[in-house]
Amino acid sequence: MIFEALIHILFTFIGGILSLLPSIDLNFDSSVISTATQFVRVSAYIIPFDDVFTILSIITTLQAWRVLVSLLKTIWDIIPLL
Amino acid sequence: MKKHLRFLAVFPVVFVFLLFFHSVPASAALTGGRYLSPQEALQVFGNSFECKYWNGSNYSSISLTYSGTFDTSSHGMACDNSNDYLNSRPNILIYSGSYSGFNSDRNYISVDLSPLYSIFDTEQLHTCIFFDSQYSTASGGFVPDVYQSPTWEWVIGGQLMYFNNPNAGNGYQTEARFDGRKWLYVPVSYISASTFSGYSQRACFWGNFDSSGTFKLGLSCPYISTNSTASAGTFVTSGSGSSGSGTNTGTNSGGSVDMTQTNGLLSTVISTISQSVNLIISGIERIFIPDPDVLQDEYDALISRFEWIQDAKEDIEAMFVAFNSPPEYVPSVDADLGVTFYGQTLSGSSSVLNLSWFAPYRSTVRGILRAFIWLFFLWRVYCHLPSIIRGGSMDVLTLTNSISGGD
Repeated sequence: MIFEALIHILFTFIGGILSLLPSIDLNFDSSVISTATQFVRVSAYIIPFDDVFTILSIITTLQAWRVLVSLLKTIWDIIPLL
Repeated sequence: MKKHLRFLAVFPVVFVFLLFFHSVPASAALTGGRYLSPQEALQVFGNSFECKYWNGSNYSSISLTYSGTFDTSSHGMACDNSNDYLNSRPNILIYSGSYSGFNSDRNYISVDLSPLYSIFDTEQLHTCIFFDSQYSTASGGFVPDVYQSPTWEWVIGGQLMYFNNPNAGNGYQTEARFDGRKWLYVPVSYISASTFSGYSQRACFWGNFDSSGTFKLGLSCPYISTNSTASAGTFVTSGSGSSGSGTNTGTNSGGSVDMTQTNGLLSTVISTISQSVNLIISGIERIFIPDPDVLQDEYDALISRFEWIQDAKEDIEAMFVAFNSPPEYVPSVDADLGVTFYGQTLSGSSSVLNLSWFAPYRSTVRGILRAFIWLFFLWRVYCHLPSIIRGGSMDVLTLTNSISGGD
């Protein structure tokens, strides 16, 4: 009962903020970029994008690691008498 | 130390007071004609049952202790507190039945019309009775005046139990009103035996109708029979009742019945405390544990604003598929050369870039590129490793400048 009311207030607040956002529609006519798609296919035919994506995921993981360590260090600095 | 001794001296007095306090309101709190929930009306303690009933001014209880091997398919107990139909007379009936329970198709419930033993009641069969073709022979009983003739079904102990009363509207009214809601008293009988040796074990159910007329079982069954082998046994009760004395006149073709009314103080206190704790726990749960359905509705309303994420995910997956086209597929870039001249359209295209010449060298070139990409990446990681370990910035040069005070 209490948590339902709190959650309802929270969701109402978030929903109010989100209602300010414009509606997003990612659907578009892909035929207009058919030439671009062809170039992408040509580049993917030459460049090993599967390796590139693997490297990108590793970079993302390393960045997450940096964020985690920085967060811990910041918390450590904030705590007094340490 | 003296304070502690004083406390110890006071403690028994407080305990006795609490005991009295709990014992008296145990019935006083139940006065006012409140309908008992199944958990309150019928409780099972090992081989004993405690069945509460309304005696016109308060609630009393009777304990039935079954000694021997309890056989749920051939013995049972009915608990009825339908004070509306007994003119405030207590009503506890022990039934036997030539056929009690579901029929073979389990589409109705049948209860025999001859109670084996009634403690106080001379007006027999004041309980809900569901039956089939024997309805016309029923006298004194009633079938529920089914509201919009619903089919009731629920699962108890893994068994689907349901019935659809074909005599809807033909019976007597059984509905009662409590808290402004329509309630229906539904004793349930389930028994696998079809011989006369059986009792029907029954439990008291309460439910209500929702706005659509569907019957909702409000509370679970405190005890329901399970399929087990029939064997004779003995009911033994002890104690004294507050509203009358019981005489044991019932006989059982499968065994003997020995019953005496009981209303022990200790059992009342224990059950009262247990009920109080359960009420407190359920109240706390209702206050602090949110309803999952409400949360789901709130979540769905919120997540509906991000449906475009699913579209983006599908587009990205399609892009990955395009990147990982099979080697035998040789892409090309074509130029559209179609023209429209005096209303006539001439279509045509020309290949601007065709990589068919690259196909024989593709695996070799990609292998070389893959090696250089990985080498470059690993070298960068190696150079940035100290920064990565200490969670520093991505750019070592920036960190160096900040330390040295450079621009």
